[in-house]
Order: sequence, then C-alpha cells, then structure tokens
Amino acid sequence: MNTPENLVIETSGLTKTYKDVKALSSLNLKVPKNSIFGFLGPNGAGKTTTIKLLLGLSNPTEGEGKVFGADIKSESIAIRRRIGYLAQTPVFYDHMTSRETLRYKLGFFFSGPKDLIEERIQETLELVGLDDKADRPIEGFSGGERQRLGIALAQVTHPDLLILDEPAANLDPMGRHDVLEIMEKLREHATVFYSTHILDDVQKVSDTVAILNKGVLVAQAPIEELLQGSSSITYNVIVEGPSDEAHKLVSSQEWVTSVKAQEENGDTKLLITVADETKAKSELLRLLMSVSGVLVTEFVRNKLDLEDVFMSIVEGANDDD
Amino acid sequence: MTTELQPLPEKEMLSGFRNMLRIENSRWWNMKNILTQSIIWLACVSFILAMPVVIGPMMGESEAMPIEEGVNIFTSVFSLVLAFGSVILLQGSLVGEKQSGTAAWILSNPISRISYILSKLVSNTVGIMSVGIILQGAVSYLILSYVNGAALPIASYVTAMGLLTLYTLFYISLTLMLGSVFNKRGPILGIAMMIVFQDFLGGIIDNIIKGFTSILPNRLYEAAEAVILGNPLPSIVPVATTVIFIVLFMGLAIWKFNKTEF
Repeated sequence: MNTPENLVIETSGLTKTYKDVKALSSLNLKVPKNSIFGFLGPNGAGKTTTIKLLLGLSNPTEGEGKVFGADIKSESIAIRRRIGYLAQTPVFYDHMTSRETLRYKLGFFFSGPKDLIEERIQETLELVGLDDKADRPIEGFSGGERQRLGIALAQVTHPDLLILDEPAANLDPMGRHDVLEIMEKLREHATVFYSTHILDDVQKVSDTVAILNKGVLVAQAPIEELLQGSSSITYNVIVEGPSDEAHKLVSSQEWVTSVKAQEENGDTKLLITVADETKAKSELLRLLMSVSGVLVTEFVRNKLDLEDVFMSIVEGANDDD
Repeated sequence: MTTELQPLPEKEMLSGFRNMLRIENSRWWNMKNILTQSIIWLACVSFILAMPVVIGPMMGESEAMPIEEGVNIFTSVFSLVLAFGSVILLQGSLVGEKQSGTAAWILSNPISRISYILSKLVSNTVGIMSVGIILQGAVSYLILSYVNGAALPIASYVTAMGLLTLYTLFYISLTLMLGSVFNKRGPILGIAMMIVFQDFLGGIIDNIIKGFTSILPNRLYEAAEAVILGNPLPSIVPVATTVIFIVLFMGLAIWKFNKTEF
C-alpha cells in the first residue's frame, strides 16, 4: 500500500505554466520507495519539467511536491543531498577528467577521508566501464561515454533516490543493457525514477510506470496492472480456404468485438478482437475449424506489450481533446 | 578509525560554497592561465607605462618625465585595463554556464545559489587582484620610483592600490549582476562598456543633476593618483558610493539568480 511513509516522491496538483503554455497540469504523482519507476510520455509531455521541479531547478506555478517528505520549494538543498541526477543531455566541465569530475561531485557531499573518496571514485568508474579513460579530459568523450559518466556522477554518492532523464538515450544496445543492469543493482538500496522513450527497457526493468501526455498524467500503475488492464484481446489467425464464411461465423458471435481480414500470400489473415477471453479460449479455434474446407495454419493470441498500452492511452487521450 | 565517508555539515545558506570555490579557483591557479594572464596584464599596463620612461630617452628626449605625468599615465591606463579586463574575464562566467547547462548540473547538487554567485565573486576578485593589481602594481611601483628618482612612499601607494581594488570590484560585481539578468553576452558587454565610459555619459547627466559625476567610481582612479602623489584623498564620496554600488549589484545578482529557472 502506498502510505506516505512508503512514498519517496509525492506531488499534489503540481502545475507549471510558462507564459501562456501549461507545461504541466495538476500532476498527482506517487513514487513508492525502492521502486524502478518509469516516467513515460511523448516529446514535450512535461517529463523534464517535472524532474526540474523536483530538483528545485524550476519553481511550480501551483501545487506542491514532496521528496522524502520534504517540500520541493523550501527544502530543496536537503532534498538534493539525497538525490543523484542525470540530465537528458549531460554537461560537465570539459577541461576536467572524469576522475576530477567525480571528486568534484563528492566534494558537495563528503569531506573525507581522502583514500575512501578515491576508492569510491575508482569503484564507480569501474561500474560504468570508464576506469581506462578516468584521467582523460572529458572534451574527447563520445556521447555514450558522457552518458556513462553522467550515470557514474548520479550514483557515486550512493543516493537514496536516482532521477535519470533519458538514461539510455545516447547509448548503443550494449550500453543500454549495462545501464539497465546498473539500475537493477541500485534498486536494492535506492529508488530509481527515470524518464524514457524506450518502452522495451521500461518493460524489462520497471515495476511501476506513469504516463504523461501534454502535461497531464493519463496513467499511473504497477506495470503488470497496466498490461492486464486493457479490455481488448486480439488473435492473429491465418486460414486457407473459404475465409468469408469463417469471417461471417466469427463476426456473428456476441463476444467478438471486431474481425479484420487481409490477404497474405494467397492465405487470409484474420485479426480478431474479443471482449471475453474465456469464451475465446474455449470456442474460437473450434468455430474456425468447424467451417467446411477451412484450414487454420496459424493461431496466435497477441500479448499486449507496453508499447500497445502506451499508444492506446496516449492516442485515447489525444482523441478526447 | 574512520571507515566511512564523512557527510558535510548541513549549511543551508552557504551550502556547497567551499567546493565550488575550489573549482573556480582552479581555473585561475594553473600555470598556463597564470602565465597567460601575467603576460597580457604586463603588456597592457607595465609596458605602456615603461614606454615613455625607457623609450623616451632612447629617442633623444632630454627632459625627464615629471612624476605627476608618470602617475597620471599609470592610473589612467591601469584603471581602464582593470575595468576592461574584469568585464572581459567575467562576461561569460554566468551566461556561459547558463547557456551550456553546466549551471543546472551544478545546481542539482546540494549547493545554494548564493554560494554559486559568491564563489564566482571571490575567486575572480582574488585572481584579478593577484595577477592584475598586485603583480602590475609591484612592477609599476618600480617604474614610477625610477621616474621619481627615489622610492615612492609605500603606504600611500598601497592605499592607492586599495582604491583601485574597490574600483575593480565595482566592475566584477556589475558584470556578475548583468550575467544573472541576461542570457546573452551582448547586452552584458554593451552595458558594461557604456559604464566604463561613464564620464562621457555622466557629463550629460551632470548637466541635469549637478554633482552626479562625483559619485561615480571613475573618481576613484583620480583619488588613487592624488594619494600616490602624497596628497590627501580628495573626497570620501566616490569610495562610499562605490561600496554601495557593489553591495547593490551583488544583492541584485543573488536575487535574480535565485529566481532564475533552469
């Protein structure tokens, strides 16, 4: 249960307006402790605006927000003592090396002992795979290396909360895999709140997601709940023979919502959407095979993935406008 | 034995100041920067002052330069170089970091915005004072003493350097304040340069508000000139008004930076 003690981030009516544009509209967000919380939304949805408000880089126009129970407006420094942050486009002092940058970062949090600080830096550099480039100026780093350094900086202080804005955006598939692994490791000690466009990654590691569209929160739930919550279930069926009859027969069932047919290499592909999964499981295949001359060569129940849910929620929200 | 990293004590107002100052200082105090700055400042101040003293006799000028003329050249050139130098060195200090996103990254750490501004003020003041005022002041002291034919009174000279430090602080705080207000370098340079040539504008305003030019920081280099020559400080007014301007500019810089959204 999401009691206030279990929540790391809690916002209520959080709103941000730039001149006449509402970038964020009355956001009520609840991020549970030790979760990997995926914050999704199309470009311009308000994800980065939310993150900046939580970090005190920007002030809300209305509403309030709490991180670890502390107010984001009046207790921002105390909040930032417990946060590690990775910006969407990480920027550092390019003349410094990654080791110097990590030392600089730690200097905001700790006073020593020196050998432990150096040990922590080395361990972090190894974690993100930058130990062989630790003493080179950052100006020569690739986008991926900068991203890795950004992740190193976000977690070197062992924060209670990591806020990552598009952490895998500039990484190749291997780099993405590494980032997801790091996030999994961090879950034991910290809460990870991250925004992303890469829905595959979200489905792999997140336990809770929120979807933001045009500054409005359109969904927020544990990922399992979100995936099961969709009422429509579809089947992909490929048939040989008189498909028109099969089409008619299936369409006439009251538990079938729609049937779409298309020709594919001389066969017919039927996309059948059903409202009652139990009925579909027990009757759909039998019905199709009962049609004389029809051969069923493929019968697959489509499993919804996060991308389908995301698209349907966002498109649904856009249609309502 | 300590086995864990020691968290810093929580100081809300000046949180992060020491760490930020350390990095800001490291930009000044590296061999490459110190050498470059020293050469540029020496060329702009001491070389210009040495020209009439050394090259004049070489060109066959028989009359020695009067000390009054030497001090006048020194204070005029030095004050102009200090004003220009401060504006040029600090024009991108805030704006550059706001534009690049570095400021947002730094401010995502437990640092107060006051600490951010103050660390820039302190590091640049110490840097410009060391390379600009102390080094140039010392070299110029030797040149002026040569022109004078005897060592100038050291106490008066140090007081004059103090007045020029105040004058420099005016431009440092002005440029920081403009950097907190604007997001581009153009307006900062434009406004600051207009103020460098304040006597011209001040003269126009002086026709409307009598005595206006007497409160401007430019009177400080004239005061420095008088003090080096052993005369009393002509007026305390420009000293007081410059201090007020500095406090005002820093207050404005902190207030505006506190309201800035990243």
